[in-house]
Amino acid sequence: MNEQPLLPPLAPLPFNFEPYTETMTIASMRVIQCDDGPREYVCEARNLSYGWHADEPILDNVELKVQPGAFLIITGESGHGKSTLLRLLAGLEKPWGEHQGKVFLFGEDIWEVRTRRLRELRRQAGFVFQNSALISNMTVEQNIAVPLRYHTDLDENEIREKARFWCDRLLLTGHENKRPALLSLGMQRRAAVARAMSMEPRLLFMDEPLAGLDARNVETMLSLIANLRALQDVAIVMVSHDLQPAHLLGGQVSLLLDGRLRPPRGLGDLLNSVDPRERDLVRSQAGLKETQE
Amino acid sequence: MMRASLIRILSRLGEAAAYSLPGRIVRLGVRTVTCLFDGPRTTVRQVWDILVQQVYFTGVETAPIAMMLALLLGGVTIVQAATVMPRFGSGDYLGAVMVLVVLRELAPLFVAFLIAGRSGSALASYLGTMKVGQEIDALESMGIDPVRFLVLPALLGCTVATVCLSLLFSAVAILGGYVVATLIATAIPQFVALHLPFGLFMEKMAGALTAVDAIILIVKPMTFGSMIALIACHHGLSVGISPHEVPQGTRKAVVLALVTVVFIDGLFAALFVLPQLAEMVP
Repeated sequence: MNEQPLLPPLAPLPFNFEPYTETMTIASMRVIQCDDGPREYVCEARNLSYGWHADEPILDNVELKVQPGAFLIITGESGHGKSTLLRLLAGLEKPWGEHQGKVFLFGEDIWEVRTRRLRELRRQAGFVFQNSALISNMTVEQNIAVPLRYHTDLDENEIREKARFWCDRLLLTGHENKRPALLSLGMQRRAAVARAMSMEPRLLFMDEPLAGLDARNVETMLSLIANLRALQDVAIVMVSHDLQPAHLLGGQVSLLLDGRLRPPRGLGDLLNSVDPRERDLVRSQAGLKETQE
Repeated sequence: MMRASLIRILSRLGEAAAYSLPGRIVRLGVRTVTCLFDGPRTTVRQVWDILVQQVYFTGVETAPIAMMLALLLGGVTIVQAATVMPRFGSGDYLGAVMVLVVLRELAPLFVAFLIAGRSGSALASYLGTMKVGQEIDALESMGIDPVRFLVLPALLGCTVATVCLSLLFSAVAILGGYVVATLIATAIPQFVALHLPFGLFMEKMAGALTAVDAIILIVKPMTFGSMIALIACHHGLSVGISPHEVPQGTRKAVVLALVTVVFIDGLFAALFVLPQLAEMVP
C-alpha cells in the first residue's frame, strides 16, 4: 500500500450549492446499454432476485450497471428492499432457494470467487451503514485506522496521519479520540464515511446516509459527498428516501417499484415521468405536492 | 446399490453432525485455527493488539479475584484434609493432597468457571452486540475476516490467559494451603504433624507431582480456555438482528461452556486418572 498515491490536499467544501444543472450530470451515472463485458463497470447486477418465499420476491430480476465515478441513487418505498439490494451488491447477502442472479464487483462474480478474493474486492468498495456500524469500543481515529492497520503495511505514524487526514476532511477534527457513543448522529455518519473512504475505494455504497439528520447536517453531508466525488472520483451507489442529493449533486435516480429496479434517469425526467406511479413516488420523496406541478 | 445407499446415509449423517451445535463449534474452531496460518501478513499487527487486550481482560483483570479464591480454596482443602490426615498419622500426605486436589482438579476447574462466567459471557455479549449493530457486517464490508479479526485473538487470548491463571491459581492455592496448615498446627496441638518447613513441604509436593500432573496442569486449562472462547464466540456470532437475542446468546454460551468444561474434565479423568487407578488394583 506504500505505493498508493498520496491523497490530494483538502479542497474547500462547496457549502454553497448550485442547484441541479445539466453540466453537473456529466460526471454522473451513465449506463451503457450495450454489453461491453462486465469489466466496464465497478458494480453490476444481472437478473438478481431475492426474497423470503419463492413466490414473493422482494427483488425481481434486478439489472444494474455502475460505471467508475458514477453517482446513482436508489429510491423507493420503505420495506421494498432498497437496503437489501445494497447489501446484495456488497456481497453481505446472497440469494438463496429459488432466487438467484449474479453480482459483479470490478468485473468479478462475487459469489464465484474465493472468499479471500471477495475480501480483496471489498477493500476497493466502501460501505456506509445506516446506523454507521462503528466499532463501539474504539475511538473515531481507531475506527478509521482499522482497515488501514489490517490491510496495509503503513507504519503507525502514517496510519495516524491518514486517519487524521480523513477526520479533517470529514469535519471530525477534535473528535478523533471520542468513542462513537459520544458523537452525534451526524458525526457518526461522517466517521463511517471516513472509515469507508480511508482505503480510497473506487466504489462507495451508502445506505440512507441522510436519514435522521437535521437540515444542517444534511447540508454538511451533501457537501462532503460532493467533495469526495470531486477529489476521489469514487462511484457512489446511495440508497435514500431523500432526493436532495440528486437535486443538488446531480446523479441519476433508479426507482425500486414492485421489486423491479427501473432504469436510472435524471431527477428532472422522473418528475415529469409519464408513469404516474414513478411521478408520484419521486414527487413524494422530493417533498413536492401534486399542486406544485 | 447397497454401497450407494450406505454412502448416502453416511453423508447425511455427516452433514447432520456438521450442522449440529457441536459440529458448528468444531467448524468454527477449525476455521479459526486455519486463520492462524492462512491470513495476510499485514493483519498480524491488528490481531496482536486485540490478543493483548483479550489477555489483559481475561487474565490480568481476573487475577486478583482468582488469587483470592485460590487462597481460600487452598486453605479449605487443607482444613478438610486435616480432618482425615490424623488417621494416616502425619502431614506427609499434604503434598499429595495438594497435587491431587488442587493441581489436577480444582485449579483448572475453578479458573475455567471463573473465565466462563466472566470472559465467556462478556465475549458472547460483545460479539452479539456487534452483530446486532452491524459491526460484523461492517468488518466484512471492509474486507476484514471477522473470524481472524475477532475470534482468533479471543481464542488465543482466552487459552493463554486460562493457562497462566491456572498456574497462578495453583501456586497461590498451595501457598494458602501451607499457611493454613501451619496455622492449624500452631493452634491445635493434635495437628502438630501438619507443620512442615516450607522447603520440606515443597519437596513433598514435588515428590507427589508426576509427569502426568504436569501435562494435565497445562493441557487441561488450554482445552478449557479454547472451548470457552469458541463456545462464546459461536453464540455471539449466532445472534440474529434483534437486541433481545444478545442476552439469550450470552446465557446459552455460559451454560454450555460450564457443561462442556465439566464434560472435558470427566474425559481427562477417564484418560489420565483411570489408568493410574487400574495400575493400583492388585
